[in-house]
Amino acid sequence: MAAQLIRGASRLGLGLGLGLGLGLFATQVAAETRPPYGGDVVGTLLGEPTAVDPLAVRSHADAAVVGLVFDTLYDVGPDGVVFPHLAAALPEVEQDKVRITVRPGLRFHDGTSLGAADVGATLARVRASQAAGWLLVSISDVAVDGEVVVLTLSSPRKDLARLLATSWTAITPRGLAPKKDAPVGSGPFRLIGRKRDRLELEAWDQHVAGRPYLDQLSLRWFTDASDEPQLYETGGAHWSLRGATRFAGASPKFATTELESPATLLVYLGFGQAHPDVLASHDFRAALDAALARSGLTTVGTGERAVPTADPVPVDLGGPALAAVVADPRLDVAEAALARAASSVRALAKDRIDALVLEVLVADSRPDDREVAARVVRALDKLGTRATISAVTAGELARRVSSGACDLYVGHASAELAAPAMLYAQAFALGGDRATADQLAGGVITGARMRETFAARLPIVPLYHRAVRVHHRADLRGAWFDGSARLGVAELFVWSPK
Amino acid sequence: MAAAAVAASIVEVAAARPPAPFAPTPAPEGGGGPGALWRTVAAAFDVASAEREPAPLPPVAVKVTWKAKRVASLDLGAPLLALAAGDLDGDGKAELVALTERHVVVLRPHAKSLAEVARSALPSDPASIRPRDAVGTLVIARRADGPGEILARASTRGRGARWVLDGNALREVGPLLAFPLCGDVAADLVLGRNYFAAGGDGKEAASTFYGVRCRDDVVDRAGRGVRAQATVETGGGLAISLDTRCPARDAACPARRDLRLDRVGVALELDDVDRDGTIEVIVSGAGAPGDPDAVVVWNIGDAGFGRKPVFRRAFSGGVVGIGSGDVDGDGDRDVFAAVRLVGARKVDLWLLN
Repeated sequence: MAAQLIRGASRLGLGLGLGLGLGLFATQVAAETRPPYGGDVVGTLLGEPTAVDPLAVRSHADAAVVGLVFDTLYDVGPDGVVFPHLAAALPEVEQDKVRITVRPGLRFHDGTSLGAADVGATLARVRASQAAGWLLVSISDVAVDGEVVVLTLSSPRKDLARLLATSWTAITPRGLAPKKDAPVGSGPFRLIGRKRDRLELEAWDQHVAGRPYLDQLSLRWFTDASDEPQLYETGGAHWSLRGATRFAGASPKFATTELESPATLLVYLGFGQAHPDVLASHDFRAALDAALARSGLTTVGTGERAVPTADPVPVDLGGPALAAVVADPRLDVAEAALARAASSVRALAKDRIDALVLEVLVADSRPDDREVAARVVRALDKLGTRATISAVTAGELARRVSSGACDLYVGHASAELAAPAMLYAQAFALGGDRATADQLAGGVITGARMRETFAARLPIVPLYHRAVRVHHRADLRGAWFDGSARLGVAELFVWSPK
Repeated sequence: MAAAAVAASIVEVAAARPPAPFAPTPAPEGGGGPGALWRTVAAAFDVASAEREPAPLPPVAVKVTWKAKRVASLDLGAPLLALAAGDLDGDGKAELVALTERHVVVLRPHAKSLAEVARSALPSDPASIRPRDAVGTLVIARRADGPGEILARASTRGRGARWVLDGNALREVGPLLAFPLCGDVAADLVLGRNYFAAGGDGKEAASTFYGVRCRDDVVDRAGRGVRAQATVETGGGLAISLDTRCPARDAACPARRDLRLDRVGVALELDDVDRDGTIEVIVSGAGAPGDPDAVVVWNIGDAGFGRKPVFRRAFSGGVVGIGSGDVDGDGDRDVFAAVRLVGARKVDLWLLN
């Protein structure tokens, strides 16, 4: 019978014979016909990614790249529901022990097998890390039993699978930090090259969730805001995150569709330690916070939704809407706070503040951030402080931020976790206050105290939550955004009508 | 043709054969040499009897009016992957069976709609590497000892299974490692991809296809059995082969015919719906997932496909499955199409005739 099937088809010229949560606008596919494989696509990132290391994720671009190159134990579907990814099933909880079985037959990009030992070592590395350890603060021990990872909990954790779906917990071989230019992951794409302004990736045939439909992917970033839409407009890219055309009224070369994510990406002002007495002062931070003209931030960018905020929790995830009184500068509040700060920080005294010059760092590959920084400089000017803006590479920004060798910087934080406690914890972790981050993530600080604690310490100053809007060629199908505004690149396919 | 390569990718499974039409020949023990000879001859008769099936009767044509009517709107609990119809309980009426990413669901008529009568979770074995878009195949195979059984596998699980309907419960009766394509043919997906492959060796590439549908209970106007098999190629072509069981002295009998349709989607069904001895090919469109879809009915006459389809109905959603069987027991074939929006758990079931 099978042979008949094969021979018959061969005669027919067949060659060799046959025989909704926040994840929005998913186009997971099942029938009609199926998505075809193939195609080399040029896309863009929201900035230059720094290091391809899950633990070093500090921006939307970092999270996007890590999500393509690495895998997590769990994943979040378009409907917002967590499902097993590298794990074979949801965690089995018995008292304080959690058992997670790893799927059989998994491979890293170098062909080596991915097993429970890699998962255990990775989670142990995350726990020990300063940057992301707060995520796993409720895990007191990580052990491996055959192909099962056994976690010991210090307190019950209903959202464990959700935590293990975040970029920071992506699995690396033997839990080691990936090589900067040749990271080995198990994600849908393999990094095959890095140039000054782009990453080159190739589909990984043995990805656990299926081979991506695209063959090759080139992900670019730009230092000039108009370069990205111009490239797209002229047909040089398959999608743009900064508009479809350079000038209003123009038309892109190819038919275009657009899609926008929820506004969950936090753009914030972070603090370094170059002027430690000034920058560590809560009153100074409060003065700057009050002097900001947040209402004007709605116009930053290229038309995507921007929601000014003073809270790390996005309105789209149930966070508080910005009160009208806070949207515009409150100079009386700012001056009062500055006066309090000046009582303990000599450099902020009226007779010395004009000698203070602060530097605001921005990544040169995130042109919108320069406009944000300009508004920060204006706010500082209202306080009587001079400031300059320095645009540096994303790598330099990351290095100076992590070493504290800066005054202020404009940062981006993806909302990979939707729970308010975890978003507050993330804000404290970004601000370098790991102890408070642990308390928030561990459930020690809850309810209204979370917001009070945040307001009292201001580890960062939230500016606005933005959406990511993609304009893409109409023949590029399958586009969707996850809850943290990452584009589902692995589901994209090229559809050419026959 | 590299038969070995074919065997590597397509598996022929044990065919379910109907019972022999004659009672076993009496062959008592004893009787010495003549008795042994009698038993040998009796056994040979029995083998010959088993090989012989009752001669099929030419069908009697019925009038079919093609008109789409939505008969049910159901939340199946997970996205639907495949649909088929067949008699699972031996009452002469077909059940409608749906394969989702998580379950096998049996549906029967209820009032003027359809209602779920049985459901079974798919095997829990985790899939190691699965295609990015879920793929499922579903066959209702006739069993030698009674009503049909369900053969199904979804790519969301590490294996498939066979089920029988026990009262109002589905009982798993065995595992399936490959994806069932027809009652006696199964295949494996290409690793991590949404299609199957067959053939291929060092010189030629393998042919790739999304699925196969078979029908082996059709009788032509001359009373000859016909087996139809349709293969949906990944390029959107549909290759159809019709194998007629020609009597030895019927020189005019066309033993095999090959036909093609283009721009065909994954969901399709083959059946002689109007009982005129020719086969209707009921297909979905080859649009992109998410685009509006259509069901088109073509008739295969003596000269091949007609110039125009017998019926065409457009849908705003995608057609994910088509199944045909005598679901209401009135002697006519009932053709159903399952329509849904991409990713949705809810499907609309349309009766097309």
